[in-house]
Amino acid sequence: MLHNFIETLNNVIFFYAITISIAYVLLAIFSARALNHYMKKNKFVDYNNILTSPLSPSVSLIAPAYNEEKNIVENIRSLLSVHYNNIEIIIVNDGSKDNTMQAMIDAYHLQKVDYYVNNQVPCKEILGVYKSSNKAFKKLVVVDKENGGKSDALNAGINVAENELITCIDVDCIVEQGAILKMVKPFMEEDKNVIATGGVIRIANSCVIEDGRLIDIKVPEKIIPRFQVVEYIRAFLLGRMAWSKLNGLLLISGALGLFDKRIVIECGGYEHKTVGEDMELVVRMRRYMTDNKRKYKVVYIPDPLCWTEAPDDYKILARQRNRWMRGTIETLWFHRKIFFNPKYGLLGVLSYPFWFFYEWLAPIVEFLGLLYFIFLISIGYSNWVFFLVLFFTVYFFAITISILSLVYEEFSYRQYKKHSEILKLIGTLVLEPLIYHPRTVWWSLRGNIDKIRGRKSWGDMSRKGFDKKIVKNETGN
Amino acid sequence: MNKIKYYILFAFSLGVCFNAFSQTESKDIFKQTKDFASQFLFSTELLIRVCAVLLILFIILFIGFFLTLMIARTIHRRNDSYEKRIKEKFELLLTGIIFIDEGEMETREWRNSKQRVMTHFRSKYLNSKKNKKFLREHIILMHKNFNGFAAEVLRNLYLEFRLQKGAIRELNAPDWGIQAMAVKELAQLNIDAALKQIKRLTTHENEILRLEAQIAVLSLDKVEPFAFLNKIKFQLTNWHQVNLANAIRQLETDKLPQFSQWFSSNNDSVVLFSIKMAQLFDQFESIPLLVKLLEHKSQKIVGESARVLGVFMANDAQENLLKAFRNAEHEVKLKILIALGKCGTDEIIPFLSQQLLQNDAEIAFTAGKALKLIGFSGRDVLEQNKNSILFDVPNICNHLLDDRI
Repeated sequence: MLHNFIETLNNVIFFYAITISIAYVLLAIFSARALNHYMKKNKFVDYNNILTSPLSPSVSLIAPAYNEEKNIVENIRSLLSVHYNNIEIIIVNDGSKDNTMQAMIDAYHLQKVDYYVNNQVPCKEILGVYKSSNKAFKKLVVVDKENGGKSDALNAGINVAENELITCIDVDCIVEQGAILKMVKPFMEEDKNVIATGGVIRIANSCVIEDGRLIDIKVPEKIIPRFQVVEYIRAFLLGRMAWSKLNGLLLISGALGLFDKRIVIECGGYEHKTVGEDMELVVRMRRYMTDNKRKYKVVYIPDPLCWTEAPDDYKILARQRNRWMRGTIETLWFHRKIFFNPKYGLLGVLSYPFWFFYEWLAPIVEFLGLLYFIFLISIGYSNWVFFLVLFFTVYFFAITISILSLVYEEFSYRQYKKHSEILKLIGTLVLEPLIYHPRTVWWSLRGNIDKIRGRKSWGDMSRKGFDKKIVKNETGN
Repeated sequence: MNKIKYYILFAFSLGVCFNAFSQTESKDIFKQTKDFASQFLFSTELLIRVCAVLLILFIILFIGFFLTLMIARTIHRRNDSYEKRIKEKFELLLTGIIFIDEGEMETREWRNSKQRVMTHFRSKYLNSKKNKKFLREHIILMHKNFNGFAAEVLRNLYLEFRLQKGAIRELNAPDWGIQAMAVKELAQLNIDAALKQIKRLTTHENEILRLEAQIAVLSLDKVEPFAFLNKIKFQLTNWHQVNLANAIRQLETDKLPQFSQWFSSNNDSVVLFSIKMAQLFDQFESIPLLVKLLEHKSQKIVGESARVLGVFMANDAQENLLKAFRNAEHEVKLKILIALGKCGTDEIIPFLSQQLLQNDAEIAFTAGKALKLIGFSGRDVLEQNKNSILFDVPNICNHLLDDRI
């Protein structure tokens, strides 16, 4: 009886592992094709045509800010230098407790104006809208509102936005100057109705930054952000590229995404009840389009468009991963109707189940698998030869997938120029499954536990800031 | 409720199948399959063997990718530095020829120097495919950045080196990327020797090649550069339109056609593009046909026509705009309101005032904008409504009357 049970369970776990591995191999193949096609197509693109054309769509850039007094002036300057003509920059002060608002008023000569806000999506009370008296900053709009968190601040920005497309960004990110041009292009070139685009987010730790602009790209000196560099390259170049090709992308990073404002409003804007508002919005938009029988596409572009500071200690990283897991659970729960629902096409039968089985369930299976293995050892039911062969097979599979993503990077954007940097990344990816991955499994598991306990907060996300000053950020903006 | 019915039906069917299996000789098949799975497919020995094979495969793949990465990095670095070096040399040699006064061009000294440079190029660089490619790329890049005499000298050099032969040959390449690059090159250097071939590519199924060919035809074809608009079967995406518009802007304005001739095209995207071009090049003559388009079955075309009529301040279109407004979709209504603000007279004020009081905030706000666009009389209406008791109206009026916004 026990023998049969153990054998069946072994087979189930083994089958699960095989399917997840096959899924990654297939994603890698799709990504390679998509990336190759994109790179080839891009040789013929002159983004200046978008910049100079009166036919280009108008964009509202929305950046929520919370207690950012030390960096806000610089951050806004960086955003104002983004290359796009028909753009307004909306900074939403989400009830900061420090001098963020005053710093903006002083630096940009802001005056409160009689701005009409059409409250189309729910948000807390807007205390005032400010415009600059200096014509040089005419693109700038500052919204002062009661504190309500990131989703609420973004919704306030959406209500104020006047343009057809909205881009939501984290104010402390460094956005490539041509980022908007690149993100707007899919909206202009696709026959299908593009509802959202996203680009690659990269890690800026140890990079040289001057006046809010990235001057020199370097591999992080510390191992924790370096692990995240490998993780991000793998996730963005190998995973999302393939999902975009299949039109099954569920997530556009909250750090930088461009959306069709009308569809966002029709969907009800960002959801307040989740800490994974970025993923939830994309899933809701997709669901809305299918429910209304409208053809659509969510596009991802592989260009590195936004550079962010990654947590460089395990404590903060743990909070971030915990939150990501809770966000995933919440989104999957809100939209459980999609699960294996053929009405939603690929979204229902592939994307959603993939997230369910391999993003949400994987850490749980992994952890339970470990406990089960310990149990088998304790009852003397372990086959050590099989264990060792299987362990090394899984390990080499993991590092092969990671190094493949570096090969993709080499043949596409080659952001890290030195040989030594590549070697550092290879060293990191060799260590990753042993040192970093077990921790991410544990943090995800804690995310599950915290979700069951009803925890809803973002957690304190202290960041050192690009200028090495400590910036506290409670809402995670 | 329906779902529950399906579940019951499904469970019942499963039960029937299971019973059928267990009560017939299929029971043996079931058992045999199970035994086969446990003894063969999931037997530990076999799994160990499979895993060992996979392990070896992954180790080989890892080493393979590692070597690919390191070799690719070395090759890329070497290529980059070679390309940089060779292009610096090309630049030095080419700028020596192009940076002279026009008067000095025909001097014997200049001719000799040019001859020396060309001999140097021929003997040293043009016998290698790679260098030839770099030279082509560099001449194109420099040609893009110069005009007048310097651009002409570069073009002549390109022709004297017979580099166009390579580009024309590439027009027949099986890869659309190579074809498109060749089209781009010939267009940039204004070489019309292969115009016939390029014209054929304007209807190619690959959209990038199609676009490059259309842009090339616009600059190369002196007789009927816009003829491709009559043959377009595919939709012109906005991206396509932006690129075409950019190419058209480089042409001499007096040689442009009346874009209204395509207002009756069967392809809606061609009609939309033509409307935009009519506006871009101030073709006021197209106003009567634009007015007719307000009755078009495509709401996109109606909206675009209304927008352009507004930009053209076509006062005569006021009645037709009002008529179109009644049956228009929400988005188009907003465009018509702005158009009425731009081209409307005081007669339209009562209509706009009425729209200002609508429950639909977007319509009300846009009507307010239109009133502001009309001028003093429209502003007076906004002033009067500043104290309206209707929920959003005072806020809208205050916003529109605040000149700091």
